[in-house]
Amino acid sequence: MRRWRHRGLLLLLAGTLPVGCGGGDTGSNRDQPAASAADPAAPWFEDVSGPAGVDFMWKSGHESRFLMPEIIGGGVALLDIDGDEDLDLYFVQGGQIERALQIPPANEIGNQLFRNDGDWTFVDISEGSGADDRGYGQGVATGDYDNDGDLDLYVTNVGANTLLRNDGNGQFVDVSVTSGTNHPGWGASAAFLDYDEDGWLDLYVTNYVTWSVETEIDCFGSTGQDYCSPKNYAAPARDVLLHNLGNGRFEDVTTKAGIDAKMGNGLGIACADFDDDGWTDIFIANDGMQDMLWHNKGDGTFEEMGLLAGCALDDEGKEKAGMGVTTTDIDNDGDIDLLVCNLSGESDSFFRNEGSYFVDATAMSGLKTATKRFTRFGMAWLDFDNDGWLDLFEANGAVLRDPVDEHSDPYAQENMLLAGSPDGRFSEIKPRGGVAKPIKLTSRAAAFGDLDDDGRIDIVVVNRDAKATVLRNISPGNGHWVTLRLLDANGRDAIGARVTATVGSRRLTRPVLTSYSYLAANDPRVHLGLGTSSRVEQVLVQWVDGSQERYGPFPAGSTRTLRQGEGSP
Amino acid sequence: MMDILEREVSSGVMYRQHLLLFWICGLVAVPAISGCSDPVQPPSPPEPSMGYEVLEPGVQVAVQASIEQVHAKPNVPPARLQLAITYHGNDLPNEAMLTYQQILDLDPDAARAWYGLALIHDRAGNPEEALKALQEVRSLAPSYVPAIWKAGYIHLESGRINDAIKAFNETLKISSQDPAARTGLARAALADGRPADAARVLESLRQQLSNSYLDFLLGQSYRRLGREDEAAMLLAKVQGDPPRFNDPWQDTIINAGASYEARIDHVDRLIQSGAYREALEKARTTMEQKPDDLPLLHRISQIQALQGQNEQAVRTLKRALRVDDMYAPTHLNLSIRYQVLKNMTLARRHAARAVELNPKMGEAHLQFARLALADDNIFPAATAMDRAFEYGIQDPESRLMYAHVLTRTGRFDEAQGQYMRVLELDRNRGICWAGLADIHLLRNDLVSAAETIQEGLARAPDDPQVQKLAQLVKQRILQHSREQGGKP
Repeated sequence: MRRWRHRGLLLLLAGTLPVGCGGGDTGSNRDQPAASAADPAAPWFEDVSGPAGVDFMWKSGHESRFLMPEIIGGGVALLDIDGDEDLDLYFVQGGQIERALQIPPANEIGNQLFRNDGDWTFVDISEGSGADDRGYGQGVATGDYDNDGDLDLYVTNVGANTLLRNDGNGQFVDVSVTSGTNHPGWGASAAFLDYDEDGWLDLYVTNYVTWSVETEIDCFGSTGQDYCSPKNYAAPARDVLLHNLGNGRFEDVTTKAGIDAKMGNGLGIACADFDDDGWTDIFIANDGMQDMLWHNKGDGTFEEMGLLAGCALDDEGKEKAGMGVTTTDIDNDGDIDLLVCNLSGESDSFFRNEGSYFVDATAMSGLKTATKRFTRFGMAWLDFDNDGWLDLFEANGAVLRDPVDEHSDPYAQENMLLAGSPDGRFSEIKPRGGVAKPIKLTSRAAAFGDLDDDGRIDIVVVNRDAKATVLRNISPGNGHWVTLRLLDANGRDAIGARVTATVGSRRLTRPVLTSYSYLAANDPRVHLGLGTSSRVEQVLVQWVDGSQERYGPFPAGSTRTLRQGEGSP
Repeated sequence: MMDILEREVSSGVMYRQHLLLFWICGLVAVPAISGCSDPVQPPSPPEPSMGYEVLEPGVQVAVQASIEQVHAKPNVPPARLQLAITYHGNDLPNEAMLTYQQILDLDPDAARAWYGLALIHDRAGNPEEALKALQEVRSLAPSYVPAIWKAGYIHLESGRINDAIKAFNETLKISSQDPAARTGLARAALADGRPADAARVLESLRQQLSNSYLDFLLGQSYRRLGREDEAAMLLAKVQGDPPRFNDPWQDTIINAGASYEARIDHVDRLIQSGAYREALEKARTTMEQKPDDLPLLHRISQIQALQGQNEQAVRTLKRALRVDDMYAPTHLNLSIRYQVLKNMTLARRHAARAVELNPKMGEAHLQFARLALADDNIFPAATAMDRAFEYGIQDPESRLMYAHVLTRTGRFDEAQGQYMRVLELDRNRGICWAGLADIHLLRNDLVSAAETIQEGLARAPDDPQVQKLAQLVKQRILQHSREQGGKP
């Protein structure tokens, strides 16, 4: 891994330059001065799914056989489908596997789309939207693959995946076959990225296990028959890299790009330029196998170097049950770090980026002991209380039954919220999950974004055989914030770009990405918690094509759109 | 789950106070005088909180048997210890904790009960409680070193490096070469940003112990020291295989797993450690509960094969076939066994059947390819290997076989790709250099062939295949030179 040696110098210069360039204000200044210390027992979130009208349940379809996909899904996306500048919700549905695998899928229920009508009201507009795919859904990715200015949807299924082209008005067209993206197999998380920097978003799809209903096997735990571990199948699957040809079609370049060199039980994904060489790399969390870091060599090929880079195994040398991933610059040193979540009994793995390699810093962050209790899936490092320090939310749910009575969900677990602090350590917020009354369900995907544009990050959690949870952020305190939307030269969300914001004496580096967490697509905007700082002095954007521009200053409490070409050099 | 655990721990403490009262009363001759009216019985052993019905049959039987023992000998701590271990080893931590607490109420000096509590707390993410329990173990059983180094690892996980180092050094005072403590010291040095110290400890430890995890840690140390080539060499071969340090008390708990899955795991551990007789016995005992169970029959067959009893292994697999002749792994394993017995007709028949039953079974395609190769049917072998590599096969040895097949079928680019992938794991693998040089020769690229084999000779000078190819390259160059009128 090489390191871009000039970045530090450029940042130093940037800090001394006069400011005042670019950045259109698309929001009002609603921020208030920081208040005194907040009530530590006050909840950070409230579940508003009922009153908001979000009536979605991911149905596993479990009857008598323990079919592995039933315990893995499902996903959710937060995206603005209709250009009205608020985040709508798209849920991926499970259903009945054997029906879903028929050609065409005969699942009775499909994916669901909820339009955000503002004021915490969502309306189910699935019918007739073209987005109600009937496959046995797992995850979802968002990206503007056709550069028409709106976000499209890619749904991973057990069986053929689906690409849904957004016409910009909330209507979707299934272009899976014509685009060449209907990859069969068991897709899990996926991500759009422009790995070759040709201006078109390509697509990476993780595949979990080579599996079929016919080859399902019986597994047992201390409470009798239960779901298998992927290790029971010994059938890792090959991930897929699809190159966007720019004409509505994708080419499968898995072999050409070297991605076929290694197979795994892929579940989680995060794409970012981890080694600062100007090319987007790909990190894959594998379940029960070594995690993989596909280093982008810049010539259209990748090499897997997780072990060499120090992020394939934790410091115990274990192949953990990697599921969710989140990535950002957690320690404000300018490079992008990684956090992977795992099974109960296995802590999260915090891989701190040291420039040319990663160090497992889980213990020093306090996450080694704090995260062991539950089996974690959806997750994110974000500043939920806008105090200037990134926090951690994890959506939990077991994969093996706990011995409970027949009326209870044997996989249910409470979610967790951990507050970040200046010393780099995390401490759990109680009541558990940051809600007044802990919610105990079998949670899977969690998607993160500012649903009401109040500058605080909200969360949508998908639960297995239970209603989805919409967590409105009501965190105590009045920390300041700025939200940035980055649009590249094509006018699309600049997935793969990187922001470095100067806030007081600190520089906050954030990648622009939608695919992180687990099976989820998140708000493409960059959210910055500022604490008591009243403004962002300057924002340095490194665009995907390698060019850099400066924007700002921006007062706290505003949402800004930064367009490529409108900043200063 | 933790809330339940926390609640039950506190109820256990209250229970201990109650028991104390019981024992005092028991010592008083006339209960009425002391205020103790009825003689208090020892506590009943805790039953599974959600009833027996939810437990897997094997676990039910083990728990019930242990509870009967406690009822038979209510004042005997070992009976309760067995019950606690049974709960603990079968993923019932709340019941295990309650039982450990009962033992400690009867005998506060029961070190193994403290140890069990420590393990449960550690797994549940309660490091402080775990450390308190381990401290009790240390005072009661000072020579049981796992209690000391385990505390070191818990400190390490909590980010208290100095406390961890102290615990590891204390372990070494008792057991000067203890690999767990030395590994812990290396990890502490890495966590503390002292990779040179870590490397020193690990280099010494690797002379005592061979383990992929030590290679992993040493590779990390070298990486941080900037010794990238050495790091790459070590890390390329690392498997996710942490060492199991000697800890008999914990092993007893793990081996108490009575569910079918736990018993299978136990059989696998015994096979892995080469304890074939014990593995066979465990498998056969488990079969008493699950007669004609296919995974068990396969393990018995595996053990027989490992002991060189291939005919018996085949008989066992035929029994599996009578249970379910549609189970693809049985056909695959039969094919492998018949191949060993040189019965190629049956080997082929069963390989074909395995593929037919599960077309996505990579191992079955691989076996099909092996048999085709044995018959020198190179193109069917190539097709089968294509499938095998599509469905999950990716180990280096199979890659080498694939590369060979690809070369022979003229798919040179793909063959080169497979050799290169093996070289990524081990740059000194002579067969890869020889294979790559061979491909250059087949392409009449003598310059590349010579360069490649030179690198092979530099990296693996004693490899006979490299030497053979070097000779061949030399001959071809001389021949070429002669054809060119003696010019090199």
